[in-house]
Amino acid sequence: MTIDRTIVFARCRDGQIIHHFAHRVMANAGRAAVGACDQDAVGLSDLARNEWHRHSARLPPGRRSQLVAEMGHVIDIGNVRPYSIVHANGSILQGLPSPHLPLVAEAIKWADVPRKPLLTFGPSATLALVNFILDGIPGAIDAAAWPFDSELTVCDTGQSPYPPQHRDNATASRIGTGTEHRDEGDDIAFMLLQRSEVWQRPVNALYNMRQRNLAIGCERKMPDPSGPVIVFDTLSAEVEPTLSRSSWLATWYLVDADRPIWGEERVAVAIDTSKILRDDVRTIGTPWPACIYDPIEGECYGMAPHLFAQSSSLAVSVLQ
Amino acid sequence: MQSPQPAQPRRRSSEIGALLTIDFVTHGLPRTRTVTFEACRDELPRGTVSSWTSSAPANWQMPSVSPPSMTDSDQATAALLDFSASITAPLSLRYSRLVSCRQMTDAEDDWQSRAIDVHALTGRIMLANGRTMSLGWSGFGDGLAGMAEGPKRARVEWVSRCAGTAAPVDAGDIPVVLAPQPAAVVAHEAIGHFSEAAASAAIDLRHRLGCRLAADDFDVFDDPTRGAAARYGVDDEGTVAVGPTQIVDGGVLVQQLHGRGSARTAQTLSTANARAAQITQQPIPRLSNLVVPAGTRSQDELVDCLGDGLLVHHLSHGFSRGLEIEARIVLAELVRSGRRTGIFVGDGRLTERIDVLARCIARGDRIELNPNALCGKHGQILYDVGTMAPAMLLSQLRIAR
Repeated sequence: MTIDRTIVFARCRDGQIIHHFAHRVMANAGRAAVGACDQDAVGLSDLARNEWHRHSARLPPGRRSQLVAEMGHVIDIGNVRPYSIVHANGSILQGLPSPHLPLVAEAIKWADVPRKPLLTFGPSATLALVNFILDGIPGAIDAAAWPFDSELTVCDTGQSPYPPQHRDNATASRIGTGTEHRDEGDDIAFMLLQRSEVWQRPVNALYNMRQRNLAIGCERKMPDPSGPVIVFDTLSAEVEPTLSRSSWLATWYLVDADRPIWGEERVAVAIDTSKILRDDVRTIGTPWPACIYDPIEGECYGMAPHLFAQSSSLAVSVLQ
Repeated sequence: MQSPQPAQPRRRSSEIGALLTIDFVTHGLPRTRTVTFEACRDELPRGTVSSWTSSAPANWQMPSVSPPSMTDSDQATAALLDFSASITAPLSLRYSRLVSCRQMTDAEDDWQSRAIDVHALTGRIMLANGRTMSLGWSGFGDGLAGMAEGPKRARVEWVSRCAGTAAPVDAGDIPVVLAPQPAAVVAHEAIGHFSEAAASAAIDLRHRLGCRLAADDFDVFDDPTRGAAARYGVDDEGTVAVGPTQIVDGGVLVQQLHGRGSARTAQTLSTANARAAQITQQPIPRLSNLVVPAGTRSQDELVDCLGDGLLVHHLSHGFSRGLEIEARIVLAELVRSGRRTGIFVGDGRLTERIDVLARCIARGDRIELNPNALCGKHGQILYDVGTMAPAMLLSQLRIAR
């Protein structure tokens, strides 16, 4: 496998400072080089800054510091692909956002949520949870250690909703008992593209190294809920991967009578990781682009559906 | 009317180097990759930052440097396989070695340069009880000597074997002796991070000065010239590191660690602690090597003074969050009437305030370098943030399940 890809983007995290990045990745089997790039991202600065401000206006003040707007081009030989992605702590706001995201900055406190709603995980929260559980599996994956419902499928793929990391011809494999290693070419390309601007840092240096991008699916579906629903749109783990009780910080929004409204404050969520996705997993709709924002590891993209959350396996409390 | 001046670069940097990565999973084959790179970063007024992969532009007038030489991958692979074979439990490991030359300048100075030569051995060991133990070794050089037969390797083998038989630790406020490795973790989280200026130069943390962080016989230093995990003569802003900076005097925070931006905000001088994990990232105030001087007693004497309590042998996953710190207890041993019992416990967490070392009653008579010098902060992982600390006797440590 040979890759020769140039990635150029302008990124804005605060509405003011723009970070331009331009680089070229060349990979062949087990060797790779970050090569000389003759492109620049100066022309994308205003776009990134404007998109940041546009999306900032639809977020409550407490979430604006989490906003990242990125405008870029992916240039493979003979093919230029422009892209734009905006996310808030991993909750994708632009670039195929999942349905029902709030469109205005109005927010509600957790204490003011009117009735006991159904709890669901949005795509990015689902991705974060599945990725965390996979990393928590000790040793080889075998049938006894598999902590997921058999209806839930988790694929390791080189395809990604984030264009700089996407490769059309990458192999995909279902993760589970007897997972085989992918080939060297896939591996080196993933390492460079997954963390395209941080090539000096090994991917997942601190945790597992088994999977690339995750594509999560489930055949057992439930219809769109009719009553009020809380969607945890992002989950940030506060502990290292484990298959026991784990602590998370969640952002959320409420959908009531088809009207979505942001949650004002983050909430603490305790999840029994060994049980939450083991049985009776049900999804709502189809998979959507998802992003885990890890303050150390950076952004990790994948595809995941909304999941109905088993309330017996999680507890929510408001942060003081 | 005066015409506007063209924007002048404020800070420029460039780096050339290579990264070697070798993965190994028990019963698998080692997988080796090398990545070579050359990149630049240009920081302009009004906050725009550009970084790109290429040699530095000729008009930068940067002195030319040769690409540094990389570890022989066969030699590193052999060392990794030899290390893996010595651990009887299943494991997955990643060896990384980064060698590079970084050059930097700003509007005030000529080009400065520094060599980066660091390694990391990370991964997980599956314990006999089904739990996992994280491995994190890192620091200066290739690290191959530490992977060979010797006390460092023997300790990992011993800790993983004992942790595999350990019962869950009981929660509570318990008197403890921290062996040098866990003492280093606690000192790093409680004192080290609290002494760093904020990543954003706009935030002034001077109100922290004067806070009591440790017992009144504690003096603590940060020293990039110590010859430990971090070794640099200039930091990533080009500030020359002259020697140790005393950050704690008599248990009280007396000096913060600064880069140039945070130093300006605090109306002081940079302490040569501006560090960037890589060239595309902003240098931010980071520890170099935190040094907690030794006390006067042997570790056995500290255990003898403990009475009933815990001897903590190994901690992992330390982090600080505001005024709190946490770490995972991988291995501890029950102590009864000042005697080690050989009864091991683990699978708990210490959850403490940053002034936990104010409860330190006595320190051991020799300091050790924590073999894990990995430190993540503000989206940047450094391989070489060293901590040297002695064993410590604490009147009380809060332990949770």
